[in-house]
Amino acid sequence: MNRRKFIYNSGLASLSVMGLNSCNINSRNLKITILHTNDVHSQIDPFPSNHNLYPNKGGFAKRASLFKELITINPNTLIFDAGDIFQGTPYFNFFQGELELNLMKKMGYNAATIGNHEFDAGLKTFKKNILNNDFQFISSNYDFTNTELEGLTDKYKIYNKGGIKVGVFGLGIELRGLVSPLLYGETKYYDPVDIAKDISTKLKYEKGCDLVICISHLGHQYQNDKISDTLLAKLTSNIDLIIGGHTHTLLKEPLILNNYLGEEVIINQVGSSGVFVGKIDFNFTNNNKNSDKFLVEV
Amino acid sequence: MKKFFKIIFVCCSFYIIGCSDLNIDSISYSRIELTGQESRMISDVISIYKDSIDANLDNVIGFSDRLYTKGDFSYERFNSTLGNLIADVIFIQSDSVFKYHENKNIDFVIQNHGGIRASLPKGEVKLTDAYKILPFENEIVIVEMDGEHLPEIVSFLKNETTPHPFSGLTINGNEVLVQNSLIIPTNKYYIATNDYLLTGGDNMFFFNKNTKVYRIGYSLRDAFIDYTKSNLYLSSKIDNRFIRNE
Repeated sequence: MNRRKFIYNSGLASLSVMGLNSCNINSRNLKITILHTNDVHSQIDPFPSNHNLYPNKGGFAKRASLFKELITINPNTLIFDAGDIFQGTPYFNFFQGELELNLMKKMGYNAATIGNHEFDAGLKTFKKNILNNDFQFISSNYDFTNTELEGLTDKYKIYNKGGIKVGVFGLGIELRGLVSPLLYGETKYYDPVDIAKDISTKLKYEKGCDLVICISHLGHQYQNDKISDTLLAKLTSNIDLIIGGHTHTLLKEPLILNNYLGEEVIINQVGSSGVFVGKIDFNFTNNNKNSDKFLVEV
Repeated sequence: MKKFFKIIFVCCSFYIIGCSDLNIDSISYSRIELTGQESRMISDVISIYKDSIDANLDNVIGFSDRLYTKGDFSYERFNSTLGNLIADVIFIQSDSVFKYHENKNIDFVIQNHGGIRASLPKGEVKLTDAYKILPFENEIVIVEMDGEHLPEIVSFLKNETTPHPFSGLTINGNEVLVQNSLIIPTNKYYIATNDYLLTGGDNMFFFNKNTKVYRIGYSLRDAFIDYTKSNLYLSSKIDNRFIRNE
């Protein structure tokens, strides 16, 4: 399905944030805002003032206030995390993930996919924290049958936002050689490409989703043929956006690749530790229009 | 939208040759750096958790003469200041425990680059730094292995893109020494690693060729904390333990 062509009418401009509205050509447009983080690694507090890269940056409390503002601006907002929520600060060592999921629920995350460090406190503790916080994990290629997590995660979720159906599925990295079998137990890993093909087709056609998003903890790209977001994009179709994690890749702007059928797939990842939030706005309309591409640095 | 947040945004445009009622007309992107105000509700929740750990974590346990990182290696001198420090500390601490319980000595230490998660700042070393540098709840394990399997380990280390910290071993091109001696294939060697690597973590599957595993019930972080408390001053450098010249 060769359904869209990507056009660069690029210009460099300095705009205020309000200038973003200039992208909205038609008042009948409906905008879906996707906010995303990855590899936050229990960075509850902002980085300390003596941090070599990001002094005083990040932290859950700042992110919460940002989310609140952005949800007020556009109620049709979905917030996802691409895994490795856990591990990295004493908050995890002391509380085993309870605080992270508690806060993420409160600050409005819709769901996360499962990163390899989500297994670090063991499945039993993970289960307790998911249940206590009623937190949504989406994992399409881990099979938790006969484990503590059986029935607690979803293969995919469909969100209806202002009449737009957004289908979301999640992919996790191969656990063997990365996570101790003592931690993941009977969890089975299935090939992400096969799973992605099946579920994205199902979401697009069977379920009629207008937008299909993959939240992935596969990693952005590898030098060998290990499956990654960029490889996944090329080998599949029907995915509009891949929100990545694992490799802590900080992209200045999303990477746009052609999928198996030559259609564009957007891939994005925003580093680690929650210093950055990625924000992608999909403007939907009944009319076919294009707008300028701006690159703005404030 | 308040101006607290630094924003880089990109508006991208798409032509759509549509087949459904709704089409994606344009897509815009911003990368927002979190520098803004804090949510009171969230920071209140955090403070409850924070207070109960801060008192402990703020304790100074030693001092560091400079910033040490795991990233200051080069391709040829394939070792880092922080990696060497951690590996040497684990050698010293686990060797004394192993000696006490089993009356044996460690031959060398292998840890994983990915197990070190933060840099060691210059100045006061606090308990919180130990948690940041070694956050994982991994324990030191002593693996008994025949010398015949050591070349496999060496070749693995050589082919990695990041230097896994080790101590007690020197690799200089094709010359490999353990405790300054050539490897004897029929000898037993005692390698201090961690339980993550023992189970094939970071693809170090060679540890399953062990003939015995000794669990000493000593975490990597506790070893680091104990060493720092008893030695007070931490120092390290890049050295010639791993020279790659091919």
